[in-house]
Amino acid sequence: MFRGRVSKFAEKTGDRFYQAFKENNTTEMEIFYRENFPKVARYIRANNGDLENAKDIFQEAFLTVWQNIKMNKINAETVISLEAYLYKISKNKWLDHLRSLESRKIIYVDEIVDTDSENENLHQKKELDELKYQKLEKGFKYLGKGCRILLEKFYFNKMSLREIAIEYNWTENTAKNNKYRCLQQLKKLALKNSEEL
Amino acid sequence: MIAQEDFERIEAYLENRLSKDEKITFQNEMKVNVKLKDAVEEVRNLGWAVQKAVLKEKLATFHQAIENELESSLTIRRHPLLNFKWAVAASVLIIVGISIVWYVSEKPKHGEAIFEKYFVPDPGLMTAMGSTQDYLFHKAMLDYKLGNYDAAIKGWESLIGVRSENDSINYFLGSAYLAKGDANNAIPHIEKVASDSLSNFKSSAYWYLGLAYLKIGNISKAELWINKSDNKNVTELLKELY
Repeated sequence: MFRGRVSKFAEKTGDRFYQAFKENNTTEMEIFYRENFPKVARYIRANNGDLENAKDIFQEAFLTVWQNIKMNKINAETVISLEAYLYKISKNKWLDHLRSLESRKIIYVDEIVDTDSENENLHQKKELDELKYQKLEKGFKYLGKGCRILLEKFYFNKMSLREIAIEYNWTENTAKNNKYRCLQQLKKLALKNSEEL
Repeated sequence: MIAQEDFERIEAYLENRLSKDEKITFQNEMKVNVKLKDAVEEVRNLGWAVQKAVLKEKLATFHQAIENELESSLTIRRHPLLNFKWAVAASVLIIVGISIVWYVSEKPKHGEAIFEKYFVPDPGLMTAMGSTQDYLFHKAMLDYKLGNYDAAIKGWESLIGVRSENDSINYFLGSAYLAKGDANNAIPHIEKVASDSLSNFKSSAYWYLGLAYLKIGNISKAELWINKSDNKNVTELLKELY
């Protein structure tokens, strides 16, 4: 059922990049990046920002688009084109950033936020999960090169264990064990990261 | 740590590689076993984190590759017919033209051009609704942010009678006037804020007041206020002024 929706989206928008995001096709993603960054950069520069701000905001927005496609949050009804979607997210992120700077100027606020404990707990759990996730992401940078490449092949390039085994001249079982070992190392690095903070 | 056997089973579940029966058993187990549920979340996060970390690295590479091309692509593109010789000739003409304008002391025009270059309307405040007066204030703020400056001015003008010393209203009323190009009406309001030592808007007010004076060609006052401002463009603007 979902496959039908994807092709309807791709057909409707003629968006080859949708599939590229779905499949982590970096050649196509780079083209998408090159084609869309200048427009966002122009907007941010025209609104009190510089190229460095533009880079950060655009990359955050790019990751959001990627994540939403991966999680099937985007469908033909809500998004007209990926270009417009990315631009809109970038713009909103930049406006949020400006507002967060400007909000320091607010002088009178007569509303007190009512915190209910259940929501607060949920919020805390979400924050904690996000933190754990960030630690893993950060840990990846410090992983040995061999492990990084192996995990990239499996999780990002979506190669099967069999394909990896053939490439490295391993058995499939060795590929499986090595992948598991690399993930354990990643978890240890993330944990170390948490303790240091 | 999740044992390897459990890990493989969880990953098979997440990748939809379990048979129908195995999947049902797994899901039922998850309902009663909190540890398993947490482990599923952990394995899912591991896969996501790896993918996101890899993509972040790729984005950095994409950006590096286009970095050098950026400056030129973000500035105005040259017309293909405009070759180097013509560009030099045009530049000379423009410089001569600007110099003539300057020396016949049409300073207001010079100031106005700099104003146009540097003026970006203040982005405004978050629109949180509170008491009636706050409601009117924020309604005008919404108009302001949408670029409906006349409506915003009307809203804030109705409040200024009651709260003539309020720096937020003065600041944004002045900002709205300036955004629609009416520097003469903007100045008294922004000046009030600039001379209010306790105002949080003071620093921004210096900058906008300087720009407002530039717009009406009062270069000495413009310079005075711009010099006080901590806006990142101060040095660049002052260089252009002389």
